[in-house]
Amino acid sequence: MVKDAYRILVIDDRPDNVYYLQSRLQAEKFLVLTAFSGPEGIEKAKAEKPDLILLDIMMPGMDGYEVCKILTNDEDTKDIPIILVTAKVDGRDVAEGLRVGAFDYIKKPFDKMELIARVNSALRYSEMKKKAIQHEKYQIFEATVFTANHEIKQPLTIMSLAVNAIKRELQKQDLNKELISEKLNYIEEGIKKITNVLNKLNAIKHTEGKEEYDKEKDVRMVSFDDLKKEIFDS
Amino acid sequence: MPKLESILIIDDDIALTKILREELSSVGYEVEVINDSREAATRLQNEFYDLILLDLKMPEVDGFEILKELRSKEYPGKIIVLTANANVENAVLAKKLGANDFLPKPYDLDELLITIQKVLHS
Repeated sequence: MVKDAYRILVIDDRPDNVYYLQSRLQAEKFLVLTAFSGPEGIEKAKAEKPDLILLDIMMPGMDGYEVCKILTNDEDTKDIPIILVTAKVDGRDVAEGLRVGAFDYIKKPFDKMELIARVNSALRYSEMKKKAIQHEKYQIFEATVFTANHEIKQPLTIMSLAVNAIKRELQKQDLNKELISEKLNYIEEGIKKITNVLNKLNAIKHTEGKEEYDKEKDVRMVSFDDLKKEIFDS
Repeated sequence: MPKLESILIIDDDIALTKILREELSSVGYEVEVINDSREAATRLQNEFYDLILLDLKMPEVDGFEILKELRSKEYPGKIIVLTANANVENAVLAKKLGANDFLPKPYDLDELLITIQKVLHS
């Protein structure tokens, strides 16, 4: 695991706590971002999208529960795991924290080993979740592209044959207008169908999975004719 | 005048088969169409075509099943698989099941005619 790639946001109104956590985490090669109030923390979380947030519960003004609730309900930050930091050891605090969407909690004063262990466990969980989400998006994208592929190629084939028929008709002395108009209808229908498919495709959000998919597809498209020759002319 | 070569198109797309039939007839083939793939097996028990143009993706009975059925009964005509889902796996399977060639959609008429002539006269 390349730890220095992970960015952790520490939100706590007390600078001594922030600096303590910062130095501990930096010693483990994490990159640390800091915020000294709930609103500042929310702003930084949305702007920086850290991999993990350590959030103090007891803060003046907006407390940790409220910050946690806002972050876990925000589309931009809902997937970032949050570890609550609490001075209390009351079971109700822990329950309340988990209820508002925290991933885990840690008690002050910190046990160094426990702190790092909980941080790593939250990061591992987050990685797994990210991969699962990406995989799901990729599968949806792949299924849609597969269908779209067929829905585009079918009308294209018809359009190509219609163009051919019109060209042939145009070489004749007496034009059969009805035939030409019928073939033009095929082309118009095809344009509509393909436009619809492309609109559907545009509606899917592009994901990281897309890049991977395109590469694979390109290889196939480039080589298909040659491969076909090998398969059928052998 | 020599006897026309006969072609059977098996594809569920009615618009496509209609226009394809017209185009192939216009260059001198005798063309028939099956849109409902369930009919293929029974009809081909008694009828012979020089060439079958076979779509893969069809409801009810897909092209691979028809191909398998025909070749297991040693159907003597030539078969070209036409598909919008052209990939190496499908091409290999089509070849294994006894297709004489494999043409990805979209194709234009010239491409199709070249493939047809190659298959019919090889």
